[in-house]
Parts: sequence; structure tokens; C-alpha cells
Amino acid sequence: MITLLILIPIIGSLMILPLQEDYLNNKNKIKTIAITTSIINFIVSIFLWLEFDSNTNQYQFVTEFDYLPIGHLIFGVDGISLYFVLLTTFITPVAILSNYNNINVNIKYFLVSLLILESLQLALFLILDLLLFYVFFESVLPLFFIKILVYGSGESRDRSANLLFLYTLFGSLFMALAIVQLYSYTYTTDFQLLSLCDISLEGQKLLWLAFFLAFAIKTPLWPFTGWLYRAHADSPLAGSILLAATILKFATYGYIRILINFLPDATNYFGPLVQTIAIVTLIYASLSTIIQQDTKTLIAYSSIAHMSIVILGLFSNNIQGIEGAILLALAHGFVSPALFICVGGIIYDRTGTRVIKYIRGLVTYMPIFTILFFIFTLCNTGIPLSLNFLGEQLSLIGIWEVNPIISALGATGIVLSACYSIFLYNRISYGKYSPHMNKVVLDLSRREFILLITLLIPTILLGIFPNLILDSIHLSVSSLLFN
Amino acid sequence: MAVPSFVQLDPAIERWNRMREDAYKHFRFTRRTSLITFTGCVLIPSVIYYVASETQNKFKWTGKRKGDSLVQS
Repeated sequence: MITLLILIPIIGSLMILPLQEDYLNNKNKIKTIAITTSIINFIVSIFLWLEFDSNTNQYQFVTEFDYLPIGHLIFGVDGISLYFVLLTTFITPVAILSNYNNINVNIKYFLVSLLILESLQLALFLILDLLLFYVFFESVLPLFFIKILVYGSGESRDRSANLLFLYTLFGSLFMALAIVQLYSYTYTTDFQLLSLCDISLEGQKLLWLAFFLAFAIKTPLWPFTGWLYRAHADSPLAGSILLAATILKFATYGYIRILINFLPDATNYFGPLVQTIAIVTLIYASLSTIIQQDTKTLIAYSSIAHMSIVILGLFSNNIQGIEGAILLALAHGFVSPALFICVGGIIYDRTGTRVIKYIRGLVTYMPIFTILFFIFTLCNTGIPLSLNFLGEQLSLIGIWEVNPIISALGATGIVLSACYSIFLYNRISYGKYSPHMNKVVLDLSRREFILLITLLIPTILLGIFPNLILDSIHLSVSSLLFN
Repeated sequence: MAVPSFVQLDPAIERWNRMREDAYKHFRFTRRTSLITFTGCVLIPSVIYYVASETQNKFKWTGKRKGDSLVQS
């Protein structure tokens, strides 16, 4: 079943490649194949979730390919990776549907790259080998680079693509060196064997710093946040959605799988450092968000602030914190794409601008959009009944056990997130209809409505009933902490 | 990617937005910016790190009764 998850998008892209875009109806055929492939993959992942046994902390559905020349491929899923896999397969059809009508040139290659990206993301969350984890971690970069350069908007998209590529590559260099050093200590790169190895604290410290640098750039944490807002602003909508929903979760997954699992003593030792960086990131990113005047950049900076609370929860060294961090990461994977669809898809498609000063009084002609945008804005601030609320509260409760002062500083993020979220919503929704807009904007189309409702349902459903997630991850998180 | 534009561009807003976008191109280290950089990049993180390291695992909340100290022994 796991192999099927990775192969289905590749099969879909191979079906699309021979089709010529210029021929009659082929564009519709290409889009239909892409969306059908991604929905089939989501259905397969639902079967994976239904078959998953929550009563064990072992890797399940383990599939091994040791006869391949490219290396020892071993895939498996546990409670922690299961929901990242589900998030990836859920968000890919959303990403495809978000850019369904506004990419008209080279749509074939755009959709092929999206499907291949899905395979690579799934491979990262499923692989049980450290070296191949690194390979898949890096593999998404060239696709995103091309996506921003070719399909992006904005005059400085070449700079944005370069920043994305070079920042992440710089960090990954240290991760590669750390993997080599880790191999020299343990003579294995298998996750299951590495989790049993015992490395001295002195040996762990340098490894930890190298891995942390790579993941801190990917998260991103201060002072490495310079690439994300640019990549989001200039990326096409599907790229922004994938970047917010899954690419940022690579780092979250890496922290859990590698830092907490393989280097626990160093994780404990560097706790204050991580808390410092997370708090500085939270406050600086939140303050930067308040002054932004580009809607997509504002949502991008708010992503940075939310990810810093995820980091606080992950490094709290208790079950509440880590489970809260996973919940918040998943919630962010629903709400952030929804906000990008609202500002970077719906508003940008109609008005052609992302500058807040031009957009005002949208409630006059777009009441349904305004309602949904309001709900997602509230979810972003962490209102009760949303999954964001549970994730944030559990993360802060977790870090309170370790360091209440840091937790109190982290709670200021809730206030600041309310400031910038309400500012954005109020500014563009209410007031007199903007004098700069010389036409009436239409409300949501059926496609846009379906996209937003699809993202709203899991946010509220899981916010009311989080046990759907917590039951499956509880054993895996417990064994992470107590083994 | 062609995007239909409904917006009547205002040259003042465009100039202001360009100024905000290109602020990094005109940055240089003056006395004021050096002070802000030092405060934001060195002083504040150092203070937070000092507070974090001093209070890490310092307080224990569970099973406390009236009169018990919160400070972990």
C-alpha cells in the first residue's frame, strides 16, 4: 500500500507526459488526469489510515527493496508519519484545483511537477533510511525553483527562487556532513537501528547542531527567515499551498525523527537555545507581520510565527507538548493554504494585486468569501473549536512544564496573531468599497467554495474531536519520549 | 501568467510599495541601524537565552500542597 502511494502520482504524471497541450480538449484531459490521480492517492491513504493499528508503536506496512542499485529502500509508517502522509495526499488535490484555471501555458509540466512533488514528499515521510531522507529532503528544491521561476508572478521571482534554493542547500550541506559523521559512529543509516544506538553527549552535540541548522532554515527560524516570505509572495498559488502545508512540515518531521529520536541527550542540553530562537522568531515574525502591506507576505510571516510555537512544543520533552506540536503543524497545514487561497487565489485572480492599500470593502460584493475568510482568520488566531487552538494550547502547556517564563512569552504570540489577522481581515473586508477598483468583483465560484469548505471541515471537525489524530499518535510519541 | 486587473493603480501607492520592497537595497550600517541591529540580534536574544537557561526545569508544579516551594530541588 505504501509503494502504491508513491507510485500512483508517478503513474499519473507518466500518463500526462505524452499528451500534447495544443490539441483540442487535451488541456482538460491533462487536468482531469492530474486531479483524478491525486484524489485516488488520497483514497489509498484513507485506506492506509483505516488499516493502521493504533495499539503498537512499531513501524507498520514496512516494505523493503534491497535489490535496487540505488540503495536500500525501506518504507514504513508509524503514528507520527501517518498524519503527515494524510496531509500530503489531502493537500495535493487542493493545490491542483487551486491553480486549475489560471495556468494556461505549459500546464502539462506544471501538473507533472506537482504530481512528482507529491511522490517525493510522501517518500520523505515514509522512508526509514537517513541518507535517503536527506535525498528526498533536497529533491523538492529543483522542482520548486523551476516552479517559482517559470510559473511565479512578480518581478523579483528569480531572486525568490535563488533564496529558496540557496538557503535550504546551505543548511543541508551541514546535514549531509552530520549524516556521514553519524554513520561513522553507528555504521548504519536505518532509522530503526539508529534509534537503538547510544552516542555520547559530546558526540551528539555537534551532530545536533548540524541537523538543527538544516531544519532551522527549513522551518524557518530566526535568523534564517529571509527566504520564506519571498518564496510565498512570488510562487504560484499551488506552490504556496504546498510550501505552507507540507514543505515546512519536513523540518517538523525531521526534528521528531532525527533530533528527538536519535540525539535525545543533546536535545535536552540545547533546550534553552531552541526556546530562545523560537521565542525570538515568534515575536519578531509577529511584529513583522503587523507591518506587512502585501497580503501573501503577511500570511507567510504568520506561518513563521506559528511554526515557532510548533518548535516550542516539540522541544518541551513531554507528551502534551509534542502532541500539541503535531496537532498545530497539521492545523497550520489546513488553515495556511486556505488563507493563501483567499488572498493569493481569490482576491489576486480578481484584482491582480496583493497590496492591501488597494483592497477594501469586499463584503459589499463578496459576502460568502468574507464569511469564510473570517472563519479562517479566527482559526489562524487559535479560536476554540479549531484544531489550531488545541495545538497551540497543548504546545504552550507542554513548554510550561519545562519553562513557564518561555511559555508566557510564547503566549504573547496569541495576542500578536490576533492583531495581524484581524488587521488583514478588517482592512480588506470592511469600509467603503475601494475607489481603486473600477469594477465589481464577483463572489466565490463553485470551485473556490469547494476548495475552502474542503479545508474548513477538517479544521473544525478535528478541533472538536482531536482523538481521531491523538489516538494514533499517542503510542508513537510515548515511545519517542520513554525509550 | 496573465491576470485580469481591476485595479486603477495609484502612482503614490506604487512608489511607496516599491520603497518598501526595495528597502533592503538601501540599507547601510549607520549609528542608528547598528544600535537597532545590536539590540535585536545580540542583546534581546542574549537576555532571553539567559532567562531560559536559568529557569529551565527550575519549577515543579505537580503534587504541590500549601506552603510547598515550586522551585525544584
